[in-house]
Amino acid sequence: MKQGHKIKFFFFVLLFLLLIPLSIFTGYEPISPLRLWQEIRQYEPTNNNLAIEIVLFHRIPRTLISILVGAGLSIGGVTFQALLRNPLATPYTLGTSSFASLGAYISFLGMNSFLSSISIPIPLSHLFAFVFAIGEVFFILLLIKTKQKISATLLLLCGITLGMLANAFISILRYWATPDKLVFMERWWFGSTQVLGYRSLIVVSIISIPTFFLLWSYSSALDQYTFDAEIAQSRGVNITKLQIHLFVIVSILTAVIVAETGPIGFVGLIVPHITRYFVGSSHRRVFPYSALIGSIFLLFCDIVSRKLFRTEIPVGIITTLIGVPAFLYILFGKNFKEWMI
Amino acid sequence: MNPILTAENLSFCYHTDERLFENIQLSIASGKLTALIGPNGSGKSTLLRLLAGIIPTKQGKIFLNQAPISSLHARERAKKIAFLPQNIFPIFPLTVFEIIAMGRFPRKPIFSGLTQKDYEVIDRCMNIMNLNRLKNRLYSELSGGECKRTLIASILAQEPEILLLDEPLSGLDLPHQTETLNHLQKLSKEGYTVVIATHEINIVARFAHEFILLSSDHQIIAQGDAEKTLTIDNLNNAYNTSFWVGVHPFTKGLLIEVEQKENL
Repeated sequence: MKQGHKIKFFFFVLLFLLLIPLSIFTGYEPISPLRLWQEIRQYEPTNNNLAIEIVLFHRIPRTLISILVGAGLSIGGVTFQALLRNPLATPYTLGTSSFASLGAYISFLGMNSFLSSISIPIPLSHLFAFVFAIGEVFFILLLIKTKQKISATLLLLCGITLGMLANAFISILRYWATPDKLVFMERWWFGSTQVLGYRSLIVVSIISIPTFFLLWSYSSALDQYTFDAEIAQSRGVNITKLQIHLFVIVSILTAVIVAETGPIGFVGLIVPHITRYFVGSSHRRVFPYSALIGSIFLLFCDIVSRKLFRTEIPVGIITTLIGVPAFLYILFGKNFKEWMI
Repeated sequence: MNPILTAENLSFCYHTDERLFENIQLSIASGKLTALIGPNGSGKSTLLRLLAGIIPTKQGKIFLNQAPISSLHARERAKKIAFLPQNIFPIFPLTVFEIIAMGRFPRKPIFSGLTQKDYEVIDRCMNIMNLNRLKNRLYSELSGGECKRTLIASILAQEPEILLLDEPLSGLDLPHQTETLNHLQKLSKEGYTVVIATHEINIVARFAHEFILLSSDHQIIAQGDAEKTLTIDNLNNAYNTSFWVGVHPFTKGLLIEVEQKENL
């Protein structure tokens, strides 16, 4: 590792380590490390252990989920950008997240209907989100196969349009939903890590941690592929296999994250750009760094979401509030480069 | 001639309703610079891709030292045959060093970084193509000639035996074309087998050892040395145009021109 990379690495790790305690001790209920320490020292099961309970069952899983989700959304973005050879392609911009949302919505609505009689070991919302996400991805692939030349604009318009379609169906479902379900669905749809517990943490980590290493193992193949598809082929990369494997892997990752937290935008779009700005384009570095920077970004947004207003707001809104100006800065800033679009 | 790459009864088409190659016989001489020449649309690029093994043949086989390349594992094939397409549009910024290092791909296990051996090969390739000065420059900031040199260095880093290059001279000015051909000739003298598809007949006539002439109806008109291949009859046949072939006053090599119609 070169000197410059070492410094960058320590800087990001330090930032990451600083945000973790900040995330644990920030929130509606003021809990200082001192208060927590006193409660731990005087611990009696019969006491009122509010601080311990909040930290243990709320803040810690929430912090860990933010880390995993931030990392997961970022590496999903990196992969889609590389696969579609387009720096704007992410599961969010290509409508994959919207379709995952639609799938999850359908399963929420059907919770007390015939759907609940199906007994499978995975949560129904995840399964539905996955089926819809992967269906959309392959539909896009099918559509662009009919064209001789695939332009970035074509691809994005295709994804955005399909995303709108998913949103239209979501609107229908919202219109039909009974008020009690609507509240839950709306809360989820804003994108939030607020009310998730250890069950979600386990589900997200089972998917996102192996996915990270799996995607990382494709680094050099992705380098070759983003450089030139034919050279990649001549060097022994099986392009069709690479595309199918990665689309399936990222669709599973996106579906699980969306099913748990709701659609959280902009992380997958801007984090890969920020990462490449710092460490270059080699995917061997881009994957781990974007996972790190992605979790820093989402942790930061999550902390802001708890402190910005008097009541907490969903983190999906904050990522957009921060993501839009950040992305505009990338587009119109003086460091803008042709390759970004 | 000692053939390293041969095609036997090769047939290929992209769509079922068209004919491209039918029953083509071809052999590439080992350790020589071979020029693949023919009019636009004659199938030069397709032939190179078939030889590189990145598109499968419909019928017939391509042999690398008697072994059919379709039976080789893609990575094993890449250790022998390297391919360079005509145009390359990388989407993310890469430095010259990074691009050359990417040539090591077929020789590296999945997770390993660059080893001492890799660094040595990369350094050697940069030396061969005179790129040391440009090591940390971004590819997007290079001139056309520098781009070509970088790409050739990158496929050299694969340590192949055969280099297949599609239009390596396009977009280069005359001195840079000469420089590129000098490099390629030097490589062939070092034992590499180099095949280039090109439109620059006159300049390759000076540098290449072997020629393969394709016609507009996808037949191989002739293969062999310049005198045997680049005759008026062969060229007229291949291009459906009247050619004029003379002797270059300075180089004493061939000078090939299209006959000028008077009332054009």
